[in-house]
Amino acid sequence: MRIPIVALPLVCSLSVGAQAMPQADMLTASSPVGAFAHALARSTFAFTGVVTALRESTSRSVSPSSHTLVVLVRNNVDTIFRSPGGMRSLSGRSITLVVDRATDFVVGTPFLFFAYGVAVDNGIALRAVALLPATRIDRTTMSRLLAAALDSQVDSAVRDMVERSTAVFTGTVESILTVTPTDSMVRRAPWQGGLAWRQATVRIGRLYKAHDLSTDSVVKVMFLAAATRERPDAPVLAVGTSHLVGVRRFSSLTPSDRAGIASQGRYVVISSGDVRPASDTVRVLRASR
Amino acid sequence: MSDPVLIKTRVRRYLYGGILCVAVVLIPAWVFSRPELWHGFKIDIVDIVPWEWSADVTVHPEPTIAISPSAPDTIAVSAYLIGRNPASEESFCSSEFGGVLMSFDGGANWTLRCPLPKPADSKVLGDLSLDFTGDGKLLLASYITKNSSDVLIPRVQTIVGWAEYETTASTERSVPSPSVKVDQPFVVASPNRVSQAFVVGSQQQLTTCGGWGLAWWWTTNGSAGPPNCVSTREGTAVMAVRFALASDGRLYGLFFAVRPDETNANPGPADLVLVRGKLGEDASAVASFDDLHDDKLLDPWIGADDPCAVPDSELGSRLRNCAKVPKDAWQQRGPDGCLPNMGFQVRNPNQFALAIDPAQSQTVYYAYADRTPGLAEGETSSAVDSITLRLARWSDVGGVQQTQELLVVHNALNPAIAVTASGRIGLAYQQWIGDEWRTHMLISDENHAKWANVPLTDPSPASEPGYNCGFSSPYLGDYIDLAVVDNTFYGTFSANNNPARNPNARYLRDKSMLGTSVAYTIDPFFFKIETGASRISIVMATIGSRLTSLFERLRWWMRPPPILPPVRGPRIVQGQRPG
Repeated sequence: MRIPIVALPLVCSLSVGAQAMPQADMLTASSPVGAFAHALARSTFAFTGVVTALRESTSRSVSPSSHTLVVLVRNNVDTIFRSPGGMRSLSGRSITLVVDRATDFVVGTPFLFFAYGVAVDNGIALRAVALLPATRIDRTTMSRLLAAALDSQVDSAVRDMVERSTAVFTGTVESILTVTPTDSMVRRAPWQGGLAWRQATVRIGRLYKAHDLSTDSVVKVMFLAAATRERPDAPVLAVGTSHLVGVRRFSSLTPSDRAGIASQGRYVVISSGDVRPASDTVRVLRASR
Repeated sequence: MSDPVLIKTRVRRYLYGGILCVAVVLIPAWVFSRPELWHGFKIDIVDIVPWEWSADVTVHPEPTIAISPSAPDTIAVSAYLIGRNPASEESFCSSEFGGVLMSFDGGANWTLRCPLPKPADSKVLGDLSLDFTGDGKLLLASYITKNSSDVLIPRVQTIVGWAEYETTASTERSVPSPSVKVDQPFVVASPNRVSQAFVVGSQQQLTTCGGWGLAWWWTTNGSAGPPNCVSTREGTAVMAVRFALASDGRLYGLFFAVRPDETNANPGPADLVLVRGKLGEDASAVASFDDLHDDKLLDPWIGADDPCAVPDSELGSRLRNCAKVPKDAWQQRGPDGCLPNMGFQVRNPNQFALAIDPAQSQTVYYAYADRTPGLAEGETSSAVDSITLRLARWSDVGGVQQTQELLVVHNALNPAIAVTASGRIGLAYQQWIGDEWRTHMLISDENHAKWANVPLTDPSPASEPGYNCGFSSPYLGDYIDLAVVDNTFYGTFSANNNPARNPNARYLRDKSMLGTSVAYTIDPFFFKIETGASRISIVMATIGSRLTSLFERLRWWMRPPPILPPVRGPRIVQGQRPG
């Protein structure tokens, strides 16, 4: 016979009271955008909810303690700003939140919670990393604050792309060629590490960071044929599409990565961060100021 | 016809006839439809993706299992991307932890937890290997890929560390530092030692060890310093290793040493090598694996005059010489990234498994896959096999090495072996027949003379789950896993999660969503097979499990709706940190 849930041994419960707890940040509507961006970067969930019980738990994996709260997530999908894609919706559900000290909270208080996952079983348990008291802040304001934080993250990503790239330009993909492995490439490739390459010819529109490239010239850009488990953020290029592109010299890759492909006259994009929407040119200009 | 006596007689006749029909036809049909009843095994198969994750469409191949020797009801199962989906950059765990599925009641219920430490700047925990030490600590080894945008070749670094699954209190715990570049690291922990474990890796990019070879760490605190190194065999390459540790400290390793003089495109010659060392109290006692050499073992597969048959004095005993094995097939991928042949699976010389006889640590059972046709005794033809799975026994009891082939399975791979306390051998594998995958478990009797075939899945076409070869190759992954406690097998495999393909499986996720609002994908399954159970207990367990799941479903639907309390003002002043 299977063991019914009620007979589950208590030893399976997670301990949340024995060690020092990392502190959750307290945000306000006037906190700098960077503080929200930091909270987003550390969290996998962002949602509004109301504290409904202190020192209680809805998860059999997390024992009720002085570090646990039960939070009722707002029954409105518009106030769930971030949640993993494969999960059932949090909307209108009670979840367990692990916090620094449950007694610092009052039942009935609404918050915007930033949190990451701890356990999933019959219920959900999350660890809070930042909180924003939501009593006097409406959904529109919250959305604006989070949008600004996301915008700041994208700005930062574009700045990084410009810094690491040999050349940055807007361009239109004219053709794509699949690179067929030659015997030479096969011999050089390490096991499981052999990369399947494609080559795009891109006509340069406007240059933002120049190398020895010129406007309206055509450049050969190498990119991975497909995303892999290890490189899930491989860039995607398709004929006829226009992008903001940050390229590096193909010769800057290791010999294993190049796998015997001649590097003369070739450039490479490695991650999806190197191939951005053409509208991100505004961010390039902002970054260069 | 209106005679009440006649009517009563006829009703009674129909009633008795119905009861007789049920007793004679339906009950035997039900019994024979359930392999656990006619084999005398008690079987539980579970899709362990949690209920909350019912909308998940992520592919989860390459599962492994670990069971705590100090608390056998504590089980951990890892698989790719559980709790973290880098494709969408949406994950459940924080960026510093990876997920693992855990059960604390022998596999009845499962929880997704986030105890696997990983450097915050890494992207993926891959090829996870888990094992519990004698005192119940969970050790992991994994390759990681860094977030750095200029790293292309994956598996750049390997980490070793403790997974503190019993606490959520602090993120301020030790995160392991990357050690060396190895692929498919393998962890074994001694069940009768405390907080000690052994980690092995092997890869061609073993720069720390100066080239091809095995690297290993002996850790007592979860941290891993510089590895010990041993060169495998001159001029050969090793893709992966499997290790097994006996309670008396005998430590075996099994690997294919692939000869490099063939092209990389087609099956090439490889030696199947068994190494053995003795585990002492500290690292210095395991400095070599030189217990075995092949000068006393005659390979029954080749003639004595074959150049491959010449014994050498290099590391380990060759159990097969010049076997044909599939080599790395990445360059055979089509434009869609799919691997050729056999349901997208044939690609690497990493198909083997190893288990020590619990009654005699000088005897091991091993399985491996090759492409050598027509050599097994009594075999009619394997010429059409893409890959052939073989199970054999090796022993050097009495000082003479002997091997004996026990089973041949055509077009099968991902072997996993375990041996029960009573001497039954369990072999789990995945087989490709007629463009369909199926997962099986073969269980021998105590004399290894008869084998019971327990299907773990029904046939499943490889085309059914939405399959992105480039992202998720290979289809099912490079391995499944099997463990044993006394006379009970515990295993895990990955397969198509279509409920119609898994009629005997329980689902933790909402299976009514599959194929409708959620696409089929590859899920990790757990299975448990008790070989010593009585048939009465099996019938009772079957009925009990049905009632339990019915009760659980009723409880779910009848739970009270949440009550929203009246809103009161916050006690926390804006701008003030609580606590």
